[in-house]
Amino acid sequence: MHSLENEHIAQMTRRSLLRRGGLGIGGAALASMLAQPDILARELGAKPEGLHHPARAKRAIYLFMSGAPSQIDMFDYKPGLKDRFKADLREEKYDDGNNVLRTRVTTMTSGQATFPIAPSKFKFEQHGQCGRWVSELLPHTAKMVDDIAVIKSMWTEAINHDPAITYITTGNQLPGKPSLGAWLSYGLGSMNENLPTFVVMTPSWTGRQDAQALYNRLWGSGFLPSEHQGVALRPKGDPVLFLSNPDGIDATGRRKSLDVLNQLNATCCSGKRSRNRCQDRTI
Amino acid sequence: MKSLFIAIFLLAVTIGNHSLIAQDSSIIEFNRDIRPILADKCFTCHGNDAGTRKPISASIELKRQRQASSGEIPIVPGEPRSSEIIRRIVSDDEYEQMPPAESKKKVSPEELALLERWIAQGAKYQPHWAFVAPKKVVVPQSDAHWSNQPIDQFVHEKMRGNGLQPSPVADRATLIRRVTLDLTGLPPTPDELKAFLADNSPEAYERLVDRLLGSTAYGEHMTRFWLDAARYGDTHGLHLDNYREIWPYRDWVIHSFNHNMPWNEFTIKNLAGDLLPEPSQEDLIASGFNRLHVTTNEGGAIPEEVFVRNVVDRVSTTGTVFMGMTWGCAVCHDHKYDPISSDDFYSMYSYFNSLDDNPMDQNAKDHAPVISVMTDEGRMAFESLKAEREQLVQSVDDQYANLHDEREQWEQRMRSALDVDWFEMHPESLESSQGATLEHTGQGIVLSSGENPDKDVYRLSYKLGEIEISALRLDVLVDESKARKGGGRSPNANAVLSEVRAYLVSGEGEQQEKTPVSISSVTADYSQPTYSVQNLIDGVVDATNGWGIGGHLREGPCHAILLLNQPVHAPGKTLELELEFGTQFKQHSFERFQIRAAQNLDVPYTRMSDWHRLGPFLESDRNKAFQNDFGPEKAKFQIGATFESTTEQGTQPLKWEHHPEYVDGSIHEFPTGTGVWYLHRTIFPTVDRIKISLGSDDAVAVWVDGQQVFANDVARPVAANQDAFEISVTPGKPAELLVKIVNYGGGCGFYFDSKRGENDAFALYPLWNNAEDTLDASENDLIKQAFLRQHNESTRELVQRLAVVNTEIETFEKTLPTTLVSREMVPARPAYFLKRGEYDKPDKDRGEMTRRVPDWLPPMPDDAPNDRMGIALWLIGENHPLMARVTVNRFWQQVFGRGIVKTSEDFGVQGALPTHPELLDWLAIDFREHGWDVKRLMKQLVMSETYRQSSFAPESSWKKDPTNRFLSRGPRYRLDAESLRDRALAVSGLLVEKIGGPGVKPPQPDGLWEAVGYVGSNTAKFVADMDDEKIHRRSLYTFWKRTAPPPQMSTFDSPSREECVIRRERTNTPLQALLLLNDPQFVECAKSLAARFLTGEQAETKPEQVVSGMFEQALGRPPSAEELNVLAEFHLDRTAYYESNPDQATALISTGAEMPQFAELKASDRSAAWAATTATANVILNLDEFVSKQ
Repeated sequence: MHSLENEHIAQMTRRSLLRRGGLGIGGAALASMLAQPDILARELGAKPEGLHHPARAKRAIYLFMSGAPSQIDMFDYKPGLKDRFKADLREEKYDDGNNVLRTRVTTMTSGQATFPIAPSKFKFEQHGQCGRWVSELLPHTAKMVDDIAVIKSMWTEAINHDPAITYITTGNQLPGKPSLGAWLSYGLGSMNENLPTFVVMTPSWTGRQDAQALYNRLWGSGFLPSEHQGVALRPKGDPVLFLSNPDGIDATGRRKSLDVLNQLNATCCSGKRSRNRCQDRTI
Repeated sequence: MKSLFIAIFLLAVTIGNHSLIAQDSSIIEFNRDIRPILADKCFTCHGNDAGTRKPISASIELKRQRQASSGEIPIVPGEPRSSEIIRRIVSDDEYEQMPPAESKKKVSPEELALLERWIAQGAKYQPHWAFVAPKKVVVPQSDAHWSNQPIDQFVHEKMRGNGLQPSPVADRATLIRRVTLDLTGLPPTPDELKAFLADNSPEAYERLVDRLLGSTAYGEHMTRFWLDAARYGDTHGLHLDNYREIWPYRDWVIHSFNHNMPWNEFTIKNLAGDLLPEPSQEDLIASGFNRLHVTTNEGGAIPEEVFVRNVVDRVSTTGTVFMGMTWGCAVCHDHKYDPISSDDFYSMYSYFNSLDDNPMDQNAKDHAPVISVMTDEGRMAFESLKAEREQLVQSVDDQYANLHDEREQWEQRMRSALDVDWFEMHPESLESSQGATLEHTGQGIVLSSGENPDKDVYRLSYKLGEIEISALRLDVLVDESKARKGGGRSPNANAVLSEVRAYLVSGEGEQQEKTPVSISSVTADYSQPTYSVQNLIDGVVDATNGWGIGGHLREGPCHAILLLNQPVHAPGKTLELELEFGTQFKQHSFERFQIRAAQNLDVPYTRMSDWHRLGPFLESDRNKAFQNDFGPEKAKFQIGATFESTTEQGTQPLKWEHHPEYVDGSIHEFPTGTGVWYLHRTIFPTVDRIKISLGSDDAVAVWVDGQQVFANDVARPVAANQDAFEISVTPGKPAELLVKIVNYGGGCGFYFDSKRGENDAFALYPLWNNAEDTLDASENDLIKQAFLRQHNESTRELVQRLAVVNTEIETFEKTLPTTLVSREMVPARPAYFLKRGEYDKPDKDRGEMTRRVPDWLPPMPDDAPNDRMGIALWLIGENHPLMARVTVNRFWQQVFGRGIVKTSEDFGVQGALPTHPELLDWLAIDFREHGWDVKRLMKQLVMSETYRQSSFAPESSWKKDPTNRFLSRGPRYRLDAESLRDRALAVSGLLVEKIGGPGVKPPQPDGLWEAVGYVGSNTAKFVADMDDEKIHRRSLYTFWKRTAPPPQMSTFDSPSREECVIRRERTNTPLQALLLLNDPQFVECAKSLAARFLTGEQAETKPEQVVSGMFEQALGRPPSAEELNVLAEFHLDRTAYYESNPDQATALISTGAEMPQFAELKASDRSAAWAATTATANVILNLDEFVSKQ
């Protein structure tokens, strides 16, 4: 392997990938497409032949915990805040003299007279060989901290649910961009043509008043072809849309109808007639 | 200075022919061969964006002999070896190499060779083709044998240059299918097919095209492409994603296409319909284009930021749709590839930032500014209603004036009616549930002191004597010695009483009996606004529901009067009163109050007797239980009457039981278990209408004097106010009210309340304390109407009619659809350059942005106003290089499957080059010069021989031109989502051809909306429409929820409509196959297609003919012998299967809606045949030929 490529892979950390959001992966996708000499072959529907560098990751599991507890109460131990309890955030400065509060403030709170600092009220202790600080709320997670990477340097400028979760899943606060999974599907392709590259376990309806809304765009393909959109595995009804045979058609009946269908579709492509690319619906 | 760009202009050489594939391929063309390399490899750093241009390497100067800052000459025409640009590309030195290693870009050897040859040939520059206005070109005389139409001549020339030959014309059946799908989105009907095949005249095809262009389906089909571009949706798109009502815009677009509105006019109306002189309703609807972007009302959102996003969307969309440029790139920085500077962007922004809508949509469907939309017929009906109202109001006023004396007398009587002898009641015991000290201070006055709890319940007991009580009066007194004389114990002196309850108590200890006393009406001399005294008897105790005495707003005593439903005469028993203070307002209880009673009142108010209950009648059959009369429904009410409940176990006698404890406004539990119950009471009305509010577990029906007035067959747990309706009664005439409750199992219960006091003279009580001249118009109206209602029959009818007309007008206005429109602020809102696109970083030092169009495009016409109207006029101007090209290219894409410029959304430097540049220019000019006539253009396209070619072609053709860029074959591709579903509905005979109206909701799998829904959203739960009229409409009418678009659409590559999209991708996925095979709507189509060939005249047809008939119906051609064989064999096999599996047959043919055309088959014993035919039809509707246009 080329040493530069190794270097590149080494630089492509989880952190940089996440920080760059969709763009990071988009860059990878573009690079792999450009590495392909025959663009026409691609237009004909050929699958990408491979990556421009050997893939190490085989799959990514991404849990998006909409409505999870705050990091301040779980992993982000901030012992110094105890002393600053009730101090006004707007008055706080870093050592370099910069204001601590530099982002805009949601209109939920921007009208408040004071912005008091509120430290976590839970106890933190160090765990595992790595000595990761974990709060008492996560006694079980605390036992396996050596196997978990916790990134504490993430930040966002989004101040609202919709733009924030759209940003974290698509790299942009506004709708229209492909989601993380769609980029992976587009850029890395599939090892198996019989299964979707990107599946999403969509949420069920809790009916809770405060449960935040989600959006199909969070696993959508944006401006990429829709084959890259997440295939939803649903908690209710058919796990995959329209997976079940209709009432009154059993598996044998369906098998037979598919065979007939294939036979008929093949007829129009073969024989004495000229070719009209029955199977290439995308042209 | 934008060094590269400006430098390029200095060198500009006019080169007329910028064809993609040059005739002489040895000549290198800048636009075709060189710009793409530079754009891809160099412009990121050396392009237009001053922000990312590296200072050290700022200028790849294309200018001859000019030195770069390094002292080298980048391009020396004729001398590649001396050109720095070449030297740097080939350099091995990591500090010199271009592009630098960290860019991960590399110039390939082929690209390098091109660059070298270009420089060797003199390095001639061309401006980007799309920014130069199209010039008239001579139509090449390529091959008159094939066709002499201009389109074909251009296409043929290009084919010839690439060694290709046109394909023969497609057969006529294919042709009519193709052109009908392309112009209407629907398949031809069998009759249309037959007629066309029979017409052998040379004009047959043209006549067909003209007919299609004249059909209303044409406008619908054209519209659905536009809806992607206009980002049309039926919801707001962000956060709650509530309903947005803007479908009149969609209907306006349909109408515009059908009436062939010239495209320049269409453009003006979309962008600036509101700025036309005296805009019509339609012009305003059209201006909704600027309002179709997504909006939000999320709590916490910063309105200024949302505002900027909304405006950015308007600019980007306008840029994409009308200019084919990616304007959005210039929000944060100068465009990296195209000459759109951020300054250009914010200049354009300044035209679109002056709409006077609130950036936050309030989660409302009618996010202002909106207009109500009326049809012509609607407007006439509305005007006549308003005229009638005017007349009625006049008569009411006349009558009222004429009856002066009677009125005085009536008012006098009303005024004094409650001014009776209220006698004191002395409490026997007093109790506060929370420990406040209650004491009787004489004269029945109660004082609360000591503990001052947040909430409280006062319990007062009075021993009753011989006197009959018909009303109670609660006086809230004030302590004159206190600073705040409001009457409440809270610091602000206010009090809010949640509820008053009364009971009759007899006996003591275990023997004690307690029955509720029903209070039928209340009134007060004062109620705090929104804290009406009516809340005292509504059975509701919550945070804000109660009678407020307004102690913080006013001073002095006040009182409430409570009318008992029936007079109480119970010597020796105890009257217990409960006063509950249970709102969120702390310590809002009375300090000093007095209860008094009156013996009788000469005041007209509606009373109702106690409830009697009868049941349960046992009946397990749900329908029978609800429908059957078990005795009392027809019979006159008699207390002693006996009834029988008959079951298999025997007969049970039943009698009416008295239930005085069923007090209005609370839920009453009945014994559990399946059964039918009846409830009865007599109403003694003083009014003519009574609003009833019901709750029931489960089904409920209501009769008044033997006439059914309400029925609701539901299964539900009981709750307050589940149903509401109004009954008519006659004042002075007792009415019998009968309620039937049918329990389908489990718990059973009943809730009843009425607003009988609303039209009652009693309700006017608070008004009598005011002088007439202090009453407002609506209060005077109340008095007026109350008087006329009781005066005589004719005055009552007058008032009743007025009420009906008022309701009708209100309903009419409420049901009028609204639609979002544009409205310009005057004076215009200033716009500022936003640094890095940040809403809160306006560059005030630069001053307000000047409204101007980019200098690399033609100037604004002299006489155009400098606003959105000006932008529209500028776009449609003769010299605009983009507008006409972008437009014809989009229509071309619609018909041929791909544009002459493949990237129809991007005509910029990064976009694809036109495959047929001369043709594109010729079409653009021809379109503009012929009045932007869309139907004419569409006709030109489909009349061309190019379009009419067969899509079958020899292998060699596919090898030479796999994607058919040179159009040597007819178009063939998978149908778009809408056409696919519409085609299935059409061939199966289900399609409802109705134009326009609100979005409809054909069935979709459960849970798709819920998976993404916010509990508070009004589109969180999907409820499918039921009637044929709605579920079988064309797909462009399907309700579009943007955060969860209809799966039948999104599975087939439709965009989400969250932003402007003018080119859909076309993919093939297994999900599509699953949908076509299994979606109940597609199965329903198969079932319906099958039914067409099994009923009526065709009922006796042989199976083979059925199969063949369905095939022809679906595909517009008979099956080949081979195809028929395969299908018939399958059909035979399925018939055998369903004959031996009747349950499966029933299951399959039960899919979908009940349709009248199925009645005959359903009644017959042919379900196996129907099921087998359905399975066969399901195969036919999945054939490749069915899902494709070819």
